[in-house]
Formats: sequence, C-alpha cells, structure tokens
Amino acid sequence: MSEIQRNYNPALFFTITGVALFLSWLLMGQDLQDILSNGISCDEYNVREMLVLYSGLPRLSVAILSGLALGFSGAILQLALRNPLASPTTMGVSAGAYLALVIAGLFFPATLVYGREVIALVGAGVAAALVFGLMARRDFSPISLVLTGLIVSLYFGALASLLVLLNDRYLASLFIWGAGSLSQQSWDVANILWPQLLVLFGLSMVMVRPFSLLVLGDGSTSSLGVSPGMIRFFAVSIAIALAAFVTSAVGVIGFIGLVAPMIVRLCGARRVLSQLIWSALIGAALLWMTDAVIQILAGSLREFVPTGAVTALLGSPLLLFLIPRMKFETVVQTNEVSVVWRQTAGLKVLIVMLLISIGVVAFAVTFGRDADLGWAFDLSGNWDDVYQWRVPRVIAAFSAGIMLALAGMILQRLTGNIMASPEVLGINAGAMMGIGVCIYLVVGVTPEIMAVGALFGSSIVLATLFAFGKRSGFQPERMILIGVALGALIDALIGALAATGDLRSVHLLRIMAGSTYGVSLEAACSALLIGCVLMVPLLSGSRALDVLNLGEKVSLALGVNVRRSRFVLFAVASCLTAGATVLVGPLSFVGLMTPHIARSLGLLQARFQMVVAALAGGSLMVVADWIGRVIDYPYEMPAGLLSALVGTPLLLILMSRQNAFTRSSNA
Amino acid sequence: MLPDHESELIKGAQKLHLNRRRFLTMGTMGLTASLFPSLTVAQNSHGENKPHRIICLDYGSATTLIELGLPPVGVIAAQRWNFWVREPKLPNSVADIGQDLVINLEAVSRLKPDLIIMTPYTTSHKPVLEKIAPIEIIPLFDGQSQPLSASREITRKLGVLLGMEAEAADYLKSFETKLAAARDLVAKRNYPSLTLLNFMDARHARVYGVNSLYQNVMDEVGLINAWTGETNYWGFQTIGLERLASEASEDMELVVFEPLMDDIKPTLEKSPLWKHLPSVQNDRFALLPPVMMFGMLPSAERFLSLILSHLESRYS
Repeated sequence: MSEIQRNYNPALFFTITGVALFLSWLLMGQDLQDILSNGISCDEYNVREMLVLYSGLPRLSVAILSGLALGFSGAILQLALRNPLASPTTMGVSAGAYLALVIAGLFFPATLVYGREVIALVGAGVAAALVFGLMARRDFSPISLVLTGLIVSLYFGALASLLVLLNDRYLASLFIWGAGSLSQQSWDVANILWPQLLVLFGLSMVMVRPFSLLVLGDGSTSSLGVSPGMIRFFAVSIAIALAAFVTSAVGVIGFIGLVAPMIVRLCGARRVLSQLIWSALIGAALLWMTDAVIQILAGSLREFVPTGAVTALLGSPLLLFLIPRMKFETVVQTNEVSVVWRQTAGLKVLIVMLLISIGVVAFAVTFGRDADLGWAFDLSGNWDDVYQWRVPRVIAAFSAGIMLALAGMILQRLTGNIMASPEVLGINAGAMMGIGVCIYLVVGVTPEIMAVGALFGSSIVLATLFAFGKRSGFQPERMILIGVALGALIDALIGALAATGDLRSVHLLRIMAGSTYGVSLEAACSALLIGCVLMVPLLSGSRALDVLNLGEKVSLALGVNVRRSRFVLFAVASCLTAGATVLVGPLSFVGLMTPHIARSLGLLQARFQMVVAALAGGSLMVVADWIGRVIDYPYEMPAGLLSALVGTPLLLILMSRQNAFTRSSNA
Repeated sequence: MLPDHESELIKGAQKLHLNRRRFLTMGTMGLTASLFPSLTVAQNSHGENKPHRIICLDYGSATTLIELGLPPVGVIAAQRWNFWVREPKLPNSVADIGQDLVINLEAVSRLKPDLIIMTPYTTSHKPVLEKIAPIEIIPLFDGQSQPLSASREITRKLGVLLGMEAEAADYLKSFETKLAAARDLVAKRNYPSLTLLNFMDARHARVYGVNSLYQNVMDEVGLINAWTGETNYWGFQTIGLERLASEASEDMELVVFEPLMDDIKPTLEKSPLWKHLPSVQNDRFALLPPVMMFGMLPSAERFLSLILSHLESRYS
C-alpha cells in the first residue's frame, strides 16, 4: 500500500521554507538589498549592515544547521530503535550534553580547552548509555524507552539548573544558553558546526545501505557480513554525536528531532534514505521558521527569547496530542518481585524502621553547627535560638518524605511500573508553575500565597491528567507518559520565564531546588497531619492495592472496581504529591526510592510496605535536609537536590536488579 | 559627655566575655570611635533603647550603616561582598548569614539582633524574622520612588531609627557636597554620553537606564546616559549585544562594570559586532571595578567617583 502512496514531503518542505524565507525577508530583506546594491562598506560602521552580516545571517545559518542535525538525528533514532517517539530530547541525549557542559564550566573550566564538543559528546553518551542500560532488559519497548529518556532528561535538566543556581554569578549566562538561544554575533558558531555536521552526514551516508536492510529486518543484514548490533550501534552513535554538537553550539533545542521525522512519515516518506533526508530538511525548515516567528513576535526582545524553550513549548503539547493516539499493549504485570524476595515478618521490620526514624529525627534536631562554625550536639533545650528553627524543618522534611513515599507506593502498585513516582506525574511541575505565577505577579509574596498558587497549579495538572486519563481508563503507561509530557511542558515554560534574566527568576529557582527553609511550625505540623490522615484510607483500602496490579481482569474477578479504585488512588497520590512539592520542591525522588526500599526489606503486603516506605521516606528526607543545613553552614543546600543526588544511583541499582529478576521469572 | 562615654564602655566590657562575636563587634566599634572622633558622639547619643545589633538583608543598607559608623552584626552573602560591592570595606566582625533568599535562621538568631533591615525583595522572610527582632522594610526599589531619592530618605530614616540623626545628616551633607562638586566638574567638561553595562555572558548584558541608581546619579550631576530604551523595575534591561550595536550612538563611551566572567573577554575579542562598535574601535571603552548597582548612597558615591576619575583620565 505504501508503494503507491504519494510523498508529500517536497510540497511541505517548500511551503515551510517559503514561509520561513518570507519571514526572514521581513526581518532582514531591506538591509540585504542595501548590502547587495551598495556592496559591503568597509570603513564606516553601518549598524544595520553589521547586524545582518554578523547577527541575522549567522543566526539563520545556525538555525538551519541545528535543524538539519536534529531532524536527521531524530530520524536515525526512530528508525534504528523502531520507536516512533525516539529523539534527542525524549532520550535525554541533549540534556546529558548540557549537564556535562555545565559541570565542566562550573567545576573544571580547564577541561573546556579540549573543546566543548568533546565534553558535550561525553555527556550525551553517558545519558544515552544510562537510558539504554535501564532499558536493556525491557526489550526497548517504545513507551518505556521514551519514558526513561524523558525522566533522565528532566532529571539532568533539573540538576544542571541547580548547579547553576548554587553558583549565582553564573546564573543568567548559563540559563540563557541552556534554554537554547540561537542569538549570534559572529560566524564562529556556524563555522564550528558545519564541518562537524558534514563529517557525520558523510559517515551516515556510508551506512545507509546496511542501515536500510537493518530497518527492513535483522535477518537480511547478516548477508553483508556485519552484525545488526554493530550497525545499530554505529547509527545511534552518529545520532547522539549530532545532538551533542548542536547542544554544545547553541544549547538544548527541544523536540525538533521528535517532530520532523514524525511529520515526514505522516507525509508518506517510506524508504529509509528518503526518511533521513526529508527529516533533516523538514527539521531545518521548521527550526528556521520557528526562529523567524520568534524574532518577529518578540520584537526588541528577539535575541533574548530562547528558541529552544519555545520549541519545547510547542513540542510537548504535540507529545500530549500523540499519546492518546498511540497503540499501547496492555501488559498484565504480575507481581514480579514476589518470585525473588522472601517475605519477612512485617511487624518486626516495621518496629526496627520506627526506631531508626526516631533516632534520625532526634539526631537531626540536636546535632548541628554552632556559632563559631564548629560541630556540636545542642542538648541545651535552647528553643529560641536553635530548636525553634530546626524542629519545624525536621517535621516538614519528615512529612514530605511520608507523602512522597505514599504517593510513590500508590503509583508503583497501580502501574506495576518501576519508574512510576510522583515526580513523574508532572503534578509537582504544575505546583511549581503555580508558585512561579505568584512570584511574577505578586510583589512581596508570602509562603501562604505560594502554597495557594502551588495547589492551584497542581490541581490544574491533576484535572488535565484526569481528562486525558479518563478516556483510556487510566491506563498506567499512558498516565505516566502524559505526566512526563506535562512536566516537560511546564519545565520549558519555567525555563522561558527564568531566561528573561529577571531577579524573580532566582527566587523561583531557589524554591525549585526544594528546601524546607522557612516553614512554620504550624505548617509543618499540619503537613504531618495531612500525611497521616491520607494514610488511613490507604491502609483500610490496602486490599485494592494488593489486587490492582494483578491486572484488570483478575481485579474485577476479585471484586475490586478497577476504574473507581484507580481514580481514587490517583487523586490521593496527586494530593500527596502537591503537598510534598510545597514543602520540598519538585525534585526529591524519594517517592521513587522508598517503595523499593520497603520491598527489598521483604515487605510484600501493601499495608506493611506502605508504613515502612513512609517511615523510610521521612527519614531519608530528614537526613537530606540535615546534610543541606550543616554541610556549608551558614549557606544551605536544598534537601530536594540532595535527596535526588542520593536517589538516582540507588534507583539504578534497584532497577538493574529488578530487571534481572523479571527476566528470570519470565523465563 | 565623659561619664556617659565611660559607662558605655563599662557596659561594653561587661558584655565582652559573653560572646566572641560580640567582643569582636565591640572591638571594631571602639576602634572606629578612636579613629574618627566625630563618631564617638554616635556611641554616646546612642540611647539604650535604640537598636545597635543590626542585621541587613541587602548590601545597600549595610553599606549605609558602615558609613554611619554602626556596621551591621550580620549581612547576607558576606562571602560575596568583594565580588559585588568591594567599597566600603566590610569589617571582619560582620557575620555571614547565608544567601538573600535562604538566610540561615540559626545564624541570625544567635547574633541576637535588635533590628533587621530588608528591602521589598526579601519581604518573604518577614513572618519568620519577626519572631527574632523588629523588622524595618526600607522602600528601596519598591517600584514607586526613584532609588536615589529613596536612598536619601532611607538614610535619614535610619538615622532617626538608630538615634544617629546627626551622623545621618552629616553623611547626607557630605554626599550632597560631593554631588555638587561633581556637577560643577561635569558642567565645565564636555563628556560624552555613557552606556553602562554588566555582562551576563558573551552575548548578553544588562544595560542600566531609567529607574536605576546610576541613572539618578547621572541626572543629578548632568551626565548623559546613552541608553534611553525601556528598563525594568530595577532599572536595567538585559539585551543582546546586537541591540547595543543598533541603538548605540556614535560618540558614546562604553563602561563595563565588573564582575566579568573569565570566558567573556576572549569571546568578545573575536566578535565582529563587538570589535566594530565605534566605542570599542575608538578605544572609548573601559572596564571598571564592581559597584553595587542596587545599592544606596555609598554605592552612588562609588559609582560617581569611579566614573568621574575614568572620564577625567580621558577627557580632561
């Protein structure tokens, strides 16, 4: 059927290019005409001429080059991985490159002499390896791959902004760059970029034939004497390098690599070579047009609105639009781990955990730094100077940990997905957006106003999630993918806001970093209360949690109303997430870790698992908060960031273990 | 006068053994008093009920307090003082209380302040800090008054609040004298218009204009700001260098204030847009040490003296 189908790509390409040309002509046409008719004036400083020659035209070239590279890269990834959602953005490659550059720039500026490209390449490679490593035993299912990639992407992006945040003097500069500003003042960037791309395009042309065979089916490639794995590795490497070079040149340009190949396929390109070439061309035209539109709309701010953030803003709704239209295999997840972990006596573990929690809390309240920057146990009972400030924070951290752990528990039980966590739902991102709006609109915001804003933002995201989710009966993978896409969208929005260089953006970033700083005793206690109260329906309804992840049919047979239970559980999880975000920001990852910790302690019943996870979450958060308070006294590191730093490696260990077990239990 | 002074000293001495930090503070105050006899009055006229252990949540009020002879006991981001403010010097006795939006409450609390001064930018701290000490929010960059006139008003108000009316009046008087001298100098010379920049990265800079402290000072002494474009609430606008090129007037003098990141200079030197700016080509470009752009009178004074000595070296 596809043989007869017409290829609409040339028409589309010329249309977009035409529009882009027209817009660019509006921007620079007059000046270009002057230059062409009068020649380049060498002696006098002609501002308009200079701007066209050293800003306008280089910007246009860099936009086209970046678009070419990203479109091509996305097409390779989508073909090589047989995944319609693969792209440099959705696989965390661009974010990895960005994080590597930030780390190098802040901590090892000497390494920049080896070239930004090398560092970006290393970062992109590490991110890709991480995503592949996490996915290796999950058969690269398209959804799981993109899910993992987007989470890695969001996580790396968040880490990068936090590193920038902790070095305030670099803030503005890296922020503008990180959001993908195409603004240029010389041909330098373009001159660096085009030879790199030329080499990579050349290399990929060499492998087009084996690659086409690979895409057609693994079997036929063996006749060429090259293993399909090698070809795939080679192709993906080229795609990663392309994305890394673009990131090192202009920062993260979101979603072009996802959108261009998708459009090309929709427009009827079938053959591999034609998909690759048209993806590159359409990507270039798209980025060129977007950039021209931004320049016209932004007017005097045009060199300042980061094109990358805008493409992300346009791209993530597209992802949201596509998700309901994608086919999902309903995977009935059995309780994989039960095969492996021996069930232990729940009560004993619970008591031990309780004792540990009490110890941690007591330690966090009494041990700290004294006035002369030394270390000291403070047992004086000095409420006014010391405990007054420590106690609410410890309580708040503990409550936030409880809330996140419970939310994570629910989500992982519901979805049977190891990656599920409140951070992934995108609700905390919504809460952040609400806080951001408050900071930008209200002069002299108070924490109360911000809390209201956060709740407002999170409920909007929640409503959106439900609206999307209801159609699919709250199908787990879809819900989480929607959440991640929402998170990416809101991230992009915050990035664009922050890139205005406004002092308020610093405020926003600090809250995003997630600190229990400034929480009042009343607020902390009510948070603890809310956490405990929300645990009650979960404990009484723990049967539903035990049963739901046996799959829809089994649950129905066991008398659990799947749809209603899911709805209630998602709602509770979202409330918990919103509450925790107000306390410790959106980045904690405690919700991701603690259910695994509880499970690895041998707790399988939802009831015990829940309580132990909650205690573990609380303790972890208290420890993170304590480290943040004492390590750089009188300066503070946010607890959210610290727990994320601890959480990710732990998560990786847990995941590789579980994946191994999954395979053995499936076999 | 003398008995009063003595009793103050005795009281001070009694406090000495209480706390190392307090001791340091008292030591500095004593030193200040002996170096500047006029300031001894400050210690004397300083009534018992007037605040004397002050914490500043902004650099502007801290510089003013230092100039008045009553340095704060704690200031935010003391580590970064030399990076952003440099002058007046921050006495060693001043404790660091963390970052402006994440101040260390334990540190603040242990300093036992009797007054905390903040600007509208940090009012989110108010509910918490109220528990420690009375709060004074100074209307600096509040979006209503211009920073220079606000600074004058605040200086006067701080004088009343701290029982240092005389010192505040003296300081204001010396400030006005310097301003008047600058005005006379500028009237005699034919200085070019100025563009004032802080680089954010090699492509973007903050340019200062309407609503900024710099603009106010320039207006009062008759200097001309070449940047007439729109600015925000705090009196600056972040622009790309292209914009600087398109809106630059032919004969302006380009002044860049530190801090300047290491990687910016080499990049600029390669950029045609920057190299070919008339100001840069004609060497009408200067890199000056940092001035607190969101500061008060001491920063205004520092700005003025840096600018004038630069202009004098070129155009006298």
